[in-house]
Amino acid sequence: MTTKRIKGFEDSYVVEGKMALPYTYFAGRVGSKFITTIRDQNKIMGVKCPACNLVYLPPRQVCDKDFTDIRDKWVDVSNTGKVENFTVVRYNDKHLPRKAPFVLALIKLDGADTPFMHILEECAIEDVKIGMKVEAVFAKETTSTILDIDHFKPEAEKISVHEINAARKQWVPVDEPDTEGKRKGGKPDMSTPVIITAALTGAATMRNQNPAVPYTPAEFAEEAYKCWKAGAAMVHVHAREDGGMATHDHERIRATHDAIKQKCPELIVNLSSAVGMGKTAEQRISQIVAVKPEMASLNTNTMNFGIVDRKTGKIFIDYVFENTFTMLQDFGKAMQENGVKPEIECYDMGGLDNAILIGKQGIFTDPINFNFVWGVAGGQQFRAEAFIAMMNALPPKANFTTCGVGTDEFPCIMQSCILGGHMRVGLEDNIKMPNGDLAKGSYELVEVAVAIANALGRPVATTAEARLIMGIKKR
Amino acid sequence: MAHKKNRNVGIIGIGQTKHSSHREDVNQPELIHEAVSLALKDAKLTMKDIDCVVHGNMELFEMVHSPDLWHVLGTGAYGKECIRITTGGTVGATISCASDNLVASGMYDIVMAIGFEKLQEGHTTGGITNMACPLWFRKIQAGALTGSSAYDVEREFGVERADKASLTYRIIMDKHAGLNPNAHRAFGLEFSQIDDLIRTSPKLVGNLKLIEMCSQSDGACCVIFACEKKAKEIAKTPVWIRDHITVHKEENFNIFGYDRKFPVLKTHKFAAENLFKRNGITDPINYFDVFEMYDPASWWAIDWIRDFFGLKGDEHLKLIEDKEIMIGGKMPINPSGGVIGSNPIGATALIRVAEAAMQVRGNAGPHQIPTPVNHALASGFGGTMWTVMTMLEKELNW
Amino acid sequence: MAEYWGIKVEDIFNTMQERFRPEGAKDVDAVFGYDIKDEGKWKLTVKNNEMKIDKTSDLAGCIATMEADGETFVGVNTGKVDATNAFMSGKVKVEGDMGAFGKTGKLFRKYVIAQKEMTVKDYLADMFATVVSRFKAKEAEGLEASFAFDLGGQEGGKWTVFIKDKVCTVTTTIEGKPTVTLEFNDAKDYVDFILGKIDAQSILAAGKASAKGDINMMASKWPILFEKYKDPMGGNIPEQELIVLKKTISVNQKFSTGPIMGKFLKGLKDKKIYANKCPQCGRLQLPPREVCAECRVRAADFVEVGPKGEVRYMDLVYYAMPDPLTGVARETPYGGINILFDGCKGNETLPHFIRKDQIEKIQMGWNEKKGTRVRPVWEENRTGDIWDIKYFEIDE
Repeated sequence: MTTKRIKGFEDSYVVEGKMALPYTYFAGRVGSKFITTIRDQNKIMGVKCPACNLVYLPPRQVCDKDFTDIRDKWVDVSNTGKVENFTVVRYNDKHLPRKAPFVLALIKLDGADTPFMHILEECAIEDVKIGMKVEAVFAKETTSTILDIDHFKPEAEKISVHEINAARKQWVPVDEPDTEGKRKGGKPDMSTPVIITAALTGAATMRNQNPAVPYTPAEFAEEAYKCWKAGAAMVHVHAREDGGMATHDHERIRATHDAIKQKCPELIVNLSSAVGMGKTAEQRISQIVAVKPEMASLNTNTMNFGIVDRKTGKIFIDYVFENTFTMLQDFGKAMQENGVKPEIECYDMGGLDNAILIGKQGIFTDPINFNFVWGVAGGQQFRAEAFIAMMNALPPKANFTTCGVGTDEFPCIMQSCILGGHMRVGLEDNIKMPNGDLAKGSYELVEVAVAIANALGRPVATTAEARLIMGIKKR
Repeated sequence: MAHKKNRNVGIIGIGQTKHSSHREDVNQPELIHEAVSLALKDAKLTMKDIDCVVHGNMELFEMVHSPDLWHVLGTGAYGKECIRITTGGTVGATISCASDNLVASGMYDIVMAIGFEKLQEGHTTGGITNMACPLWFRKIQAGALTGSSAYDVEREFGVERADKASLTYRIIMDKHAGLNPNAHRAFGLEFSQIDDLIRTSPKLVGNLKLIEMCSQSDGACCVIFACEKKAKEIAKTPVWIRDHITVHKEENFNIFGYDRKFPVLKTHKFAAENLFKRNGITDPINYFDVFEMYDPASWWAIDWIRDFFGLKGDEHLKLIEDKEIMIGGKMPINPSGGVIGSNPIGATALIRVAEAAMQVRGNAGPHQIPTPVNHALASGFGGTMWTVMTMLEKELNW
Repeated sequence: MAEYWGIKVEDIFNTMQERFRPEGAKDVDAVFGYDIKDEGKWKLTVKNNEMKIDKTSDLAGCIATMEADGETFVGVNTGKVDATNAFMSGKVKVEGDMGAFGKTGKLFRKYVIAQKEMTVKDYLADMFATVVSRFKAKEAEGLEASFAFDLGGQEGGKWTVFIKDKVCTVTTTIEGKPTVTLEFNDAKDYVDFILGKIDAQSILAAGKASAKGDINMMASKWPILFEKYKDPMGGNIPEQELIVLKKTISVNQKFSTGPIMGKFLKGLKDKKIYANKCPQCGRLQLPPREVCAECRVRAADFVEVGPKGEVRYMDLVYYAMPDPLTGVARETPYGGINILFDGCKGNETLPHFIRKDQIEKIQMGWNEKKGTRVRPVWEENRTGDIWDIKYFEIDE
C-alpha cells in the first residue's frame, strides 16, 4: 500500500495494524452501588455534598469542588429529568452504542444538580428540544453498566395538579348558612376543592409489605414531597424508628415533622395522636403538645382494634384501642390550647355521636373536621348508605373526609368526592393500586384520588385552599 | 556542577495507599484520593494550599486514555494547574523531578506529585508491548520480562552462586516487606528456603522465576514539595532534594550481542557516575545511609547494585551474600521491601523517593533504619533502559 | 484426619467428581499427582472429558505433581488461602510440567464450604438460654409478669419467662395464666422474627401467629426489659456486590514505515535482509532506524546481511502474554532469539522467533563461543512484514 511518492521516500508505505488488549474495570464501592441499584431496583441514586449542597449524578466518592468525602451521602433522584443539551450523532462507528443517527442528551434528573449523558430515543430527532422532560427506560437485560438504563424517552404528558391550580381561580368561601337540607339528598357543592390527604405510614404498615414505606425523617420528607407534587394538601404521619417500629419519642416525631416541613413548607402535617399499639394516654398526647402540628387525629371511641383473618374470623391480635370520654376531652382540650386543629376519627356512628356529645363542652371550633374510617377490624365496613347516614349526622359547617382499609379505600373516597367531601389515601390504609399492583408510594395513590377528582370535575385543593376550608391557620 | 536551583525544595508531606491486588472496592480516582488525603494529613495542609498538581501513571496500563480528566475527583486538581506526565516505569521519579523543578524555578511554592497505578485493571505485559515499534518489536517481545540479566550474572559468576545471590536478595526484600505495613507481597520467606525456591518456583522467561519478579499492584503515592521558606514553616523535618538526574537511551531490544568488545551503554552506571561526580561524592557506598532502588526483579537488582555504586568484581554479590543490604547492614537497600514487594508502576518510582524521604525523617515505622539517616538515594527505572536518580538530604549543608 | 476450616483433605478429593467441568477438560489428556504432606498421595487421570481420582502410594507417570501441606491444600481449594501467595512463597510446589498443571485450574468448580448453619432448634435453645443474661433488672422495678411462648412445628416448644422482684427466670412449660401468650404456628417464624428477617405485623397478618392477653406488655415492655438478641452467626450483612467489568480494547491502527524501515520490510519480500550503516561509527542497525542514536546522524546506506547467522541470545518465554494484535494469550513456551547475521558484529542483532521444537537445542554465543547457526524460514506469500519470516530454524 503506497501513499505518497516523494523522492528519497519511495520505500515508505503504510501498514495496517491493530491493538487488542484485555483489561478489567473496577467500579469501586460508590460506582457499584450506583449500578446495582439501577439494575436491581430500577432506582437512580446520587450523592449529595453537605458542604456545597450539590447532588452529584453519577455519584462520586469526593466532591471535586471542595474535596469533601461524600461516599455515603446517598440520595434518591428521580427517574425523570430535563434535557439540558443534546447532540445528534450522525456517523457510524463500532464503538458507539447505537446506529446513527441517534441522540446523545445531557440530562439533569429531577433532584440532581449535575447533568449526565445518555441516549434519548422513542422521539423523532427533530422533536428533541432543550428543556424537554424525559424519563428513564430500564434495560431488560443487564450488562451491569450504565446501559442498565437502556435509554431515556420523552416523559408521558402528565399535566400537574399544580399547573391546573395555577391556571384556575382561587376558591373563596361563600358565606351562606349551612343547612341540613343542603346536603341531605341535595345537590352537593362540586365547586368546592377536594382536599387530598396522604397517610404515609400508619403504625403498622411495614416495608416488607411495601418497600416504599418511609421510616427515617428524610424518607418521610421525600415521600411527603412526592405526595404534595402529586396533589396532596396534607400528610398524616405516624413517626417510625429506623427499624420501622412506631415511636412516641418526641425528638423522633419532631425530626420527622420538621423534615417534612423543611422539604415542603406549605404542606399541612397532621400527626397521629394514636401513635401505635400499647401507648399510654400521656405518650399519645404529650408529643402533640410538644411538636404542635397544624392538625392531629383525635380518636372518639374505645373499640376493638385487632388483626383478624378476614376469611375465617380467626383472631391473630386481640387488642382494645382505648379512647375514653376523658381522653377525648383531655386530648381535645390539649389541642385547643395548643392551636392544633383536630381531625375527628369516626370508626362508626357511635364515635361521631361521642364527639358531638363531648364537643358540647366547647372544645371544638368550627369548622369541625371529621374523618370516616372504614374497614378496621373492630370498626364498621364501608357501606354507601352508612356513609350517607354519617354525613347527614354531621353538625353544621362540618367538613368530612374519609379513608378505607385495603380495598375499601377507593369506593369510599369516590363516594366522599361525589358528596362534596374530601379524600384520604396512602400506604397506612392500603398498599395496592386499584389493579392490585403494589403502589410505588403513597404518591401513586394520591394520583388515583386526583384522577377521581378530575373525573368528577372537582378542583383539587391547594394547601392554601385546604387551610381555608378546614379552618387552619398556617404556622 | 550540580543542578542549578533558584531555591531549595523540601518534601513536606507523604501519603501512600496499602498496595494490594484486591482493590475492587475503589475505582482509580478513589484510590488516588486515599494517597492524596494521607499526604495532606501528613503535611497538615488542605487542597487549598496546593498550587499545582503533577499527576502521572503508565500510558494505557488501565486502558484508559487521558485518565487525568476523571482523576480530578481524586487528585483535587479542580480549578488548579495540573500537569500529566508519563515516561514509563520512571514516571513516578519523573513527576518528582518535575515537581522539584517547578518549585525550584519559583513558578509554584507548593506542588503535589501523584503517581498511581491499578495493575489489576490492565494488562501490564500487553501494555508494555505497545511501547515498542509496532512494525517489529511489538510483535515479538515478551513485555517487561527478560531472562537476560539472569543470563549475564550466571555467565559471570556461575549458575549456583548467581541463583543463590538472586534468591538471597529476594528473601531480604521479603523480610523488609514484612516490616512495611503498606507492602503488597510479604510472604514470610526464610533463607532456608533458597534451594527449594530455586528448584520449584516456576520460570517465566529464561532463568527469571516467578518468585524473583515484582508483583502487580494497585496503589497510589502522593508527595508534597515546597520551597525552602514554606517548607520550614510547614514541616518539622522537611527532607531536602539535593539533586536529580535523568538519563535516557535508545530503545534496546537488540542489544543482546554479548560481545565484550562492544559494550552497551548502561544508563544506571552512567547516571550514577555523573550524579556523584557533579556533587563531589567520591565514595557513594559510604556516603549514603539508605538506597531505595527500583528493583523490578531480583536479577536486575543484584546486577544494578554494582552499577549504582561503581563496585568492582563481585563486591556487589558479597554485599548481598553478607546481608549488608538488610536493615541494620552497611548499605541498607529498600527497607520498604522494594518494587519486588509492591509495584503499582506509575507510583513505584515516586514511592522510592517517598520511602527514602521517610527514612531521612526517621518516621518510616517498623521498617525504619535504626541508625540516623542523613543522606538517601532513590532510583527509578523505565523504558527499555532509562534511569532517574534522586538525592535527598536531612540538612541544607551541601 | 486433620480438619482445616472444618474440611478434611479427603473432602476436596472426594468432591472432585461432582465438581468436575467437562468443558474445562477439553484437550486435556494427562495424569496429575497430588502429594499432600502427612495425608497421602492422589492421582488424577483426565482423559476424553472424563476424570478419575485414586488414592495411591505411587505417583510415577504423572505429568506434574502438586506438593503442599494439608492446611495449604484445603485453604487454596476453598479460597481461605491466597493461591498466588501460597505458590510464590513455596507453600505449594509443582514438580514436573508446570504449564500442564495450570490446566487443572479449569477442571473443577470451586469447593464451596457448606455453611454450618444453626437450626431453628439451636436458635431457640440459644435465645431462651440467653434471656436471663439479657434481662435488665433495673427496668423491672415493681413489675410482676409472665411471658409465655407457644412455638409450634417440629422444632418448636414451650417456654415461659417470669419476672418478679427484679429477677428473671425461664421454664420450658406454660403454666397458669401468663400475662401474655405469644403463639406461633411454626417456631421458624419466631426465629426469623427475632433475627429481624420478618416483622411481626406480617406474620400476624398472614395468620401465622397470634397474641393473647396483655399485648402492650409484649409489644412495649419486652423490648425495654431485655437486650436485643445477638445472632451468634454474626450480622447476616451481605457484602456489597462490587462491579468488575472485563473488556478488551481493540483499535485499528496504521503505521507509516518511513523510507528506512520500508526498505528493510520490502527487502523481506525478496528474501533479503538489509541493515543500515551509520556513516560515522559504521555500526549496522537491525531492523534499520533512520538515525544512529549514538552519533545522531542520518544513516541511509544499506548493506545486505545474512540471511544466516548465529544465535547470541534467547529468551525462553514460559509466561503467557497476549498477542497485541488479537488480545489472545500466546502459547508457551516459545523462544525469542537475537540473531547476529553473517556480516554483522557486536550487538548488531535482530530479534525474532526460533522454531518451537528446537528451543532445547539452542546454544547462545559470546566472545569465546559460537552460538547455534540458524536460517530464516520464509513465508510463501510475502507482504513486507515481520511475518514474512515465519521463524528461524537451526541451519544443519
